[in-house]
Amino acid sequence: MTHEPGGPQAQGLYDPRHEHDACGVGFVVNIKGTRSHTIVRQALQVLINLLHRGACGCEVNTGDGAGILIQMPDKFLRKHTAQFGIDLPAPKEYGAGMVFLPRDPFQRETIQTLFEKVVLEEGQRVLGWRDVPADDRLLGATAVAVKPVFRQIFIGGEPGVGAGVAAHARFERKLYVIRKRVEIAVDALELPERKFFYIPSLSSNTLIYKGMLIADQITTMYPDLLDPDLESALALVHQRFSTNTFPSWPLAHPYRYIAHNGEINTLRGNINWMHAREALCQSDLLGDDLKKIFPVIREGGSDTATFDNVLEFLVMTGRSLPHAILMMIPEPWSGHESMSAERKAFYEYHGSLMEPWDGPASIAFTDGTVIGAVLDRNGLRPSRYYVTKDDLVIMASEVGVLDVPPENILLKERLHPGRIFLVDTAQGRIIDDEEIKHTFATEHPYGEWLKQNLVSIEDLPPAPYIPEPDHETVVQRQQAFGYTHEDLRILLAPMAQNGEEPVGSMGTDTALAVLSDRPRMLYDYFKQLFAQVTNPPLDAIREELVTSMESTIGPERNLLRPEPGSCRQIKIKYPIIDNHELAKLKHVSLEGFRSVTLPMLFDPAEGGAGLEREMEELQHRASQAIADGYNILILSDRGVNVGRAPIPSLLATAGVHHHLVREGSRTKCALVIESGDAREVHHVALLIGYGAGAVNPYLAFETLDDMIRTGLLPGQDHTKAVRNYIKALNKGILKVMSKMGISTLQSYCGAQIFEAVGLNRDVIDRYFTWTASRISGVGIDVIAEEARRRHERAFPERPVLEPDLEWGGEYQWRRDGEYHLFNPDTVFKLQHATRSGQYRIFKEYTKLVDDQNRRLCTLRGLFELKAAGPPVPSEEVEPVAAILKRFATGAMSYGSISQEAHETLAIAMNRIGGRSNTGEGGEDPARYPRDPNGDWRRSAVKQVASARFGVTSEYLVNADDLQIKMAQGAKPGEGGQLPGHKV
Amino acid sequence: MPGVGLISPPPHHDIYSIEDLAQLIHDLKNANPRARIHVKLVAEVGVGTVAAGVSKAHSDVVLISGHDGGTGASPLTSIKHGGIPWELGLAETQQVLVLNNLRDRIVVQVDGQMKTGRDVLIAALLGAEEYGFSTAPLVVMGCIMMRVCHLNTCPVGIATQDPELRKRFTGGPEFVTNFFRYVAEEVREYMAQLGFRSIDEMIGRVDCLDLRPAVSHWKAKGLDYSQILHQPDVPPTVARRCVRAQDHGLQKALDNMLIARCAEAILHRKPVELSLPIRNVNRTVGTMMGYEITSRHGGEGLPDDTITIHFTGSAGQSFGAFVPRGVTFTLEGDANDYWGKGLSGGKLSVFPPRESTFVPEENIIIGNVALYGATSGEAYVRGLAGERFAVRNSGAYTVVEGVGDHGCEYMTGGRVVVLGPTGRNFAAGMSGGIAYVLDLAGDFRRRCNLGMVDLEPLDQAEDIRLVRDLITRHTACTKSDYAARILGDWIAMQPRFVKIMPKDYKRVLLAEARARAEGRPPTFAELVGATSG
Repeated sequence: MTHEPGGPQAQGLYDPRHEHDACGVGFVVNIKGTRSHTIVRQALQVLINLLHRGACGCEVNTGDGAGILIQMPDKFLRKHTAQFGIDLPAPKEYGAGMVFLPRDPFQRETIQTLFEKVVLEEGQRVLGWRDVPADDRLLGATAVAVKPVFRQIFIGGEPGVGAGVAAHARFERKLYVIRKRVEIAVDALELPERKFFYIPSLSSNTLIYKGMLIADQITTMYPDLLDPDLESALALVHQRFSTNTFPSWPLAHPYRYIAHNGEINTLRGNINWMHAREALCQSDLLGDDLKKIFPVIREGGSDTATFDNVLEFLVMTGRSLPHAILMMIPEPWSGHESMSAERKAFYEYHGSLMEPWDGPASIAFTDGTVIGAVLDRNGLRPSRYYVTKDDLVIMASEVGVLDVPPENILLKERLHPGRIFLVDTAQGRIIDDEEIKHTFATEHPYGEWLKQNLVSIEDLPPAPYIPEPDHETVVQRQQAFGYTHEDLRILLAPMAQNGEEPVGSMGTDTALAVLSDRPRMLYDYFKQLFAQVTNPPLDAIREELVTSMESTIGPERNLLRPEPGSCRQIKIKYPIIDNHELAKLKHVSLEGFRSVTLPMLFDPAEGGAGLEREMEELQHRASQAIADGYNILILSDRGVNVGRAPIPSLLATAGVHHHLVREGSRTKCALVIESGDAREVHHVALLIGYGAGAVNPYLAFETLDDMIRTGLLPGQDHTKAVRNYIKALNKGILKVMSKMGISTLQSYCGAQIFEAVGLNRDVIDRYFTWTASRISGVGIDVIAEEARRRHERAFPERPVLEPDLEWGGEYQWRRDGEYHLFNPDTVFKLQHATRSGQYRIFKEYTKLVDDQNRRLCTLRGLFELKAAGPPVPSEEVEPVAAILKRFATGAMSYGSISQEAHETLAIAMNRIGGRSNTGEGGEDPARYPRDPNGDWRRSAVKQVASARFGVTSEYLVNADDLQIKMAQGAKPGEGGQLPGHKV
Repeated sequence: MPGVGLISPPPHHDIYSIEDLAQLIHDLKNANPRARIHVKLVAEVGVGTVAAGVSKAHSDVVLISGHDGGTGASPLTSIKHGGIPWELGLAETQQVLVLNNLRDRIVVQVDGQMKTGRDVLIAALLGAEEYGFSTAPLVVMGCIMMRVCHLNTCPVGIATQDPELRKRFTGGPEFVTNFFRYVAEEVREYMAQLGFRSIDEMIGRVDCLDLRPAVSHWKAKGLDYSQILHQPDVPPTVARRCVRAQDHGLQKALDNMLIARCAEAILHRKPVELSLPIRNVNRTVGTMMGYEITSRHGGEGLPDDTITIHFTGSAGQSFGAFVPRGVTFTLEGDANDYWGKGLSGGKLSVFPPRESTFVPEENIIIGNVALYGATSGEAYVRGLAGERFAVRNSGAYTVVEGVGDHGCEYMTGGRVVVLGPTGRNFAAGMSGGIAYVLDLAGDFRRRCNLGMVDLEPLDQAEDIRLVRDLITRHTACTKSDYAARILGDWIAMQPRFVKIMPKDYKRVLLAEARARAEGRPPTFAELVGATSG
């Protein structure tokens, strides 16, 4: 197989952006900073004992990646560079870089020359290059096929720069600038082997050896590691498990500062926000060099690479390594019962600077002097450590990775959720979580800063004017915004009554939005993503303490110069705001805040072109407003009339958000959406996911009033109904976030964790940049046409006597509603055919279903079959009995269907040699032996779900298939609750 | 237990990441080496990459489920807006597996609103070799799509537990077999037309599919299926369907030796006692031996302590997983995550090495998620456990000297005694079983999630006897002098215990006791409570 060094490009439905990885991580450190080769050897032993946490690809000898980070091994390098005529300056006054280079000598030379040129331009000296000995004998063909050439570069500081900590730090920053410049320059080269190029490390403090290896291949690959002169006081190791086999040499850990076991769920949002923030950055330390390193994040890196880019940026611009870590992975603080006020203030303040990088993570980090580890807020990765009596700390994903005599162990601990652990080899001691956090929390009077600057929305002065509901036009506007009777009765009513999202069953068999004949909401073209396997969904109810729906809206300032005014923002407890709160924002007059309302309306008669032009106009007005000093932008679709139709709020929100991200002004303002079309959880989740800081679904509120008036909400009044409804929306958003394993609204905002189904490239690139959309579909013209059809219904040419909403038919079959594949006709035919044993009638049933499929209900309906060759005689085709073995029934638990139904399925499947499924509720052992008549009520497939209900040794033994249920079609990423009466 | 609700946690608490899934696959393969291990995923963008990871994690089958399935109760937002059609998920899975040369070792199954032979045919051409059906067989059995499954009022006796409604069930297995035969027959008709003799030939033949242009439809005309119909450019040697078995590496398991050395016990119930060293690379120890025992002796297992093994060292993940009755493991050293997962009647204990000088009750000895889903058995821990100790325990009895966050989460049965500090969010979602915590600092209440439980003093004779008995056994198994001191100072210690009692569970226990006293079985209404459900 031909492999490219960076893995294959996106093709078909594959996109490298979806690769995930996880793994085993560990470090060994001498607390007192005593260097030795033993530390290196011990770390390599740890690596080998973590081997089972990694993975191999299609070949057993091609690993997903392994690596080691050590302190600069001065003694070793001095010995081995002398032969190349390199005279190394004193330690810390030269930098060494591990460089992956193309195999073609000419291309290699091109990059080396460019590298040297950059070094000179930055006023430093190239001391020389060293060929790194590498022996790939043990490696698999895939790894060898993409193996780069390994060379180390040595760089000396400019003459006379001097010794001392400040000078060393300055030099280290220069090396950073050099590396970033070389990376950016090489990325711009048109070299065929450009993708071989990568700089694992370039530093005066640390050196990295890594690659597409299995743990036990690393020392043969890099014999340097076995040299007794290779000494370090600390060593960080990592064994990788990637979901694909495209792990390339660069994607192995450690990165320059970290090795990571886990997954950043909010990556896309974090990247977008970081890009947006760059324009506001200014650095005293880097000065004019700052712009050379932009973009901070190198596109195409993994989540860890990206995290490392930002962490490095924060460290290089002046924050200490642990401080930067706490900013990026804060512990859950808002609801903490015993955290100190200072510490809460520290987190709250930093929350105004940057959103958390959210996801399960055990991150080990080091700058060569301190080494430590931090665990995500939920404690979802294991990290254990031993401290020995001879000053050794061994930290790893597992215990027992290094043999230590029991009597030599001083203590055995683990990393706790949200806590940090640090060994400072300069101070020669372990610094615990409490001390580290106290130090940072008391560095500035954060509490005071917050009190003076951060304003809660409740504390904003009340608005002079609140828009009045207009009952005369409610129905008309509902029509313009595509409301149906189902929306009222099935969605809104339960939310307003119980404060809960409604529940349904039996899945969905209606058309995708792009295949539906009816105009559908733009929201319907988006599907929520959810966590499966590579990261866990959360339980926002039982583990509420790690979640937070609080966020701040308002302008950001320079990330690199924290000052009291950096938190001059408005704090909102929940993202759904009522009319009073919105009015406060509209009329805000406090110093530092200025709001403006921008209409999102267009002329439906002008179609796609008109909508496109209005979107450009809206984007332009947003830019202008920011330039004029407004920092709260309210997009509003109020004002619909016969000539003006609403722009779908989602289009407007995402379009403005991405426009401002591209322009670099996004972090200067908050986006608030006053929306007539948003009414269900999915809608508001989308708006927030594409950048909205707060949403006011005003028409839904008016609809509730109307429903109270017409008796659809017995026993409710306006206040109660609105309160319940907002509560249900907020709870629903939290649930959507938790499905993806995201615990804070702040990191969900702008994270765009959705996939589009049925939108064309142009719409995606322009308004929903970076969103997956794989079967193309409608463009801006159809979006406009759908809005026009809704608008036409609201403002018909010839007035209708009693205007009424459409029924909908999304949830329950209606003759005038959406198609359902199972409808009274097909249900009857199928039952009749199978009960009377008539294949002819079965064919009538399949014809009905297949025709409906073809009438655009499903994607498969649009396929045409092409013969592979001439027809074959029926008797030569595989017999029915063989095909039946390939059939299974789905997981339906004994709790969800009756015993009779459950056993009938099992008996039937056992009779035909297929497989029935227990579902997640266990199985009565009485069903294991066969019945006297030869029937077997035992299910061949035994499901193992998260509740492990009835999963005993006996249950597992009595199975042909053991099915691990990672997710469920109807509710991926969610758990469930079986009430007492069904157990 | 009727009346005690049950929460399915959103995640498997032993799968937070891909290497964890590999570990669970390994555990289940050990628990039944004959069974195929099968991972069910739901279609979404990126599901192909996850499937590649699943293949690398040595799963035998991967199921790609469409967004449209599901019979049970779900929030409407999730039904309508989560996941994507299986056509997309399946095509992506096939492409990524082939591209990675990982398709050869895994069977791909697909399901989601499959109704006809044509559906099966398209699934095969897109890359699936097995096919799942749910709604259609339910309709065959009589379902008329009332969509009231979540209300327990199913009028045709399918999705209900109501005895009266269940009488209306008219489905017979022969209807269901008719259905599947008809589908297979229809598949054969298509195969003959298209020139295929076997399903195997068809798998992944996307060249036999084309998009029927929907020029006339105002929306669908913009669709482009070229990504679905893409074929990765790989040499012909790369398989497009499953042609070989996964290598589960079971031959390397320590259990092979255990099984050999305990053969007398497994076959003839003769007691065996062994001492063995253990390392972290020895994972899932005892589970394959458990399979040998259960497959011969059924759910009863062996008489207590028939097999006793003393291990020394650091045990790998899933030590003692699913170990049945009759097996007793002691571990002198420490252990990693998932210690005692799914414990099925066996007895486990762990304590620090004799030479250790640290204070055991202040040091961590086992990892996270110990005793996850344990159903019966006993476990004693001399030292501290990590996060989520005894999560989803439904029957094991255990003593531990301190736990991390989320202790006893989602527990539905069994007894847990904690002799030291607990982390935050203790007893979240705990609907059954009882926990007893020695609250020396007096601040336990702050760290307990009181959503479903009440805190009570330890003052009932029955409870006191049980707790003392468990601590006594703990002391005997682990030589814990800390526990011995607690027993020695019982008068002072007893009042400092807190009893964590789930509200539902208490009601059920009371109802049962009342019925027992009156010499009758408890009624359903008593068990589920007037307000429940």
